[in-house]
Amino acid sequence: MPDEIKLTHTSALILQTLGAGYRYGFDVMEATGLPSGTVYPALRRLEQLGLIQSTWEKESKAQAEQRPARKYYKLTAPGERTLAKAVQRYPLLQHMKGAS
Amino acid sequence: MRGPVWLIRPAFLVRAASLLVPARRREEWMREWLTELHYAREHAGEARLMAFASGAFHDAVWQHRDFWTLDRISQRAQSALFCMASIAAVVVLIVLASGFLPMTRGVLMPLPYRDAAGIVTVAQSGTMAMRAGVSGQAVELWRENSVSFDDIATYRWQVAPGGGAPLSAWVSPNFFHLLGAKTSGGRSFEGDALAGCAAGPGANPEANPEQCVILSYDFWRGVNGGSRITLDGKTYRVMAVLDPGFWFLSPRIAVWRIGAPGPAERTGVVARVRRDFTKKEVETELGVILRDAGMNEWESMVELTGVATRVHSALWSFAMGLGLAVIIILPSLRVRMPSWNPRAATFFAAKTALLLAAVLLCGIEFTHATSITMLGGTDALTEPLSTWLFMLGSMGVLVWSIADQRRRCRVCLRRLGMVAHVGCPGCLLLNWAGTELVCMEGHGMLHVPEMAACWQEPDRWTSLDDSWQGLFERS
Repeated sequence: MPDEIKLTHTSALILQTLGAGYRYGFDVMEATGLPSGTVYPALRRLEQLGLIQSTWEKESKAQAEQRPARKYYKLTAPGERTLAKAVQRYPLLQHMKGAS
Repeated sequence: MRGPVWLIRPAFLVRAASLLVPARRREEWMREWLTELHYAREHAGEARLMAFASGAFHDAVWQHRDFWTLDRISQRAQSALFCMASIAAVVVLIVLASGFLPMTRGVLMPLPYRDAAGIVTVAQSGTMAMRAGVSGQAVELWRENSVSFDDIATYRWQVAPGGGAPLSAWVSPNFFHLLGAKTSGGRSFEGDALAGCAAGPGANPEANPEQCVILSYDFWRGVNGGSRITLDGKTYRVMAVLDPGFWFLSPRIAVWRIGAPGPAERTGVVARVRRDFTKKEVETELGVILRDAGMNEWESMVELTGVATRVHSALWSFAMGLGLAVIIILPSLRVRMPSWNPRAATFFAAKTALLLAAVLLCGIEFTHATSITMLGGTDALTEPLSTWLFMLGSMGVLVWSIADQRRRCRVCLRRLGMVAHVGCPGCLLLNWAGTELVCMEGHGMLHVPEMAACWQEPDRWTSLDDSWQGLFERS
């Protein structure tokens, strides 16, 4: 992984959204207002860069609640560092509210 | 009217988009999208759900961005499917470049002449001299004395002096009537309708002040369908326009001029034989007529060939080329071909057949073999060229096809890779030296000796069992 990854504003926004506690694709869409065709490819790219990590929810837990298991995303340590730098670069990202 | 509702359902869009995702990633990709769709349905209306699902296409296409690396492309290029697709693309290219195979269609479709079985071409001095044509004097002798012909006509063709289109041909006034050609405009060819139209080299300019031409349908359409046309700086009257399907010698001939050859000129001859005469009887009669006129034995040798036979001889020429190629290749075929299995045999047969089809189409379309085989009076190099092209092409196809087959995995038919030279080439007596190639999927290894020796197999295939798979796993 390169030492310093420069993210686009959209990627930084998605990273910030995940950092704020939103955990899956549709959640990120709702928080950012970005379309699905932007959010999901961006999630793939961020994961490839090692800035986020995805995990599938346990089937047993999802079945108990009678819903399909979903894929969660969370920031990695390099992702948190990159996000901190991105926030300096894009100050408006600081205004993102956390997930309830 | 209510359309197919399932087509506009979000889940259908996601499933359709999944077809664009590389197979290895498809299952997980679709699982995530269908799950997300489930949750989106709880929060969004139908219209927004559709917009959400439409994004799946963008995500699916994006999946290819990092998937199609150079390494992966080269892996794909090794597959049997890629090989077949490439050859098929070449065939399609030939079809498009030739303008949808006009020559081949001419060979395979029924000929556009009335009662084509009764029409023959006539060669003087044996078929080997066919291209030299028949002298105008001989044609006149046959016209006056033969009782076995209903009619006899002449034809010659040439490329315009500037080398550019259109291709033109000189034919005698009764040529189209003899063939039973139809017109789509202008005069019909009945009787001596074109007799006063002669403009050829043998024609008397004072007798025919009105020079005229007959045009092919496509050419006439191309020049905006007028009743007069300017060619080589001269204006001609368009006497008739041929039926769109008509061709003789070549579908590319656009301009037909009327003119009989002079007595010393050589020309192609086409005739309609009376039903009650056999080919042998006609040949004998024509020979006798020439001998009686004082021509020697060689000049009096006459040979008739059906027009249909001449047209189809382009295919025979290919069959002969292929046959020769097989005879030449056959000895090495037995030694060099890998052991057969049904899948490999099918692939080999399909690959070879497609390549041979490409050679055949190239030969027929681009050397104008059909024109040549019907002809008197073209350049002598072209016919051998087409035959040689067929033969060399067929040999090339067979050699390449066998060589390609040998270098493919016996299990998955991928091209073998990771070429390694093993052993010492100078120590052949005591050690094995050669090249080793490996199937990138881990199915086996091919050992190709440096030098073929009578005591060993030319190629040896070693299958690798599952314990080797760890070495070949890819991310």
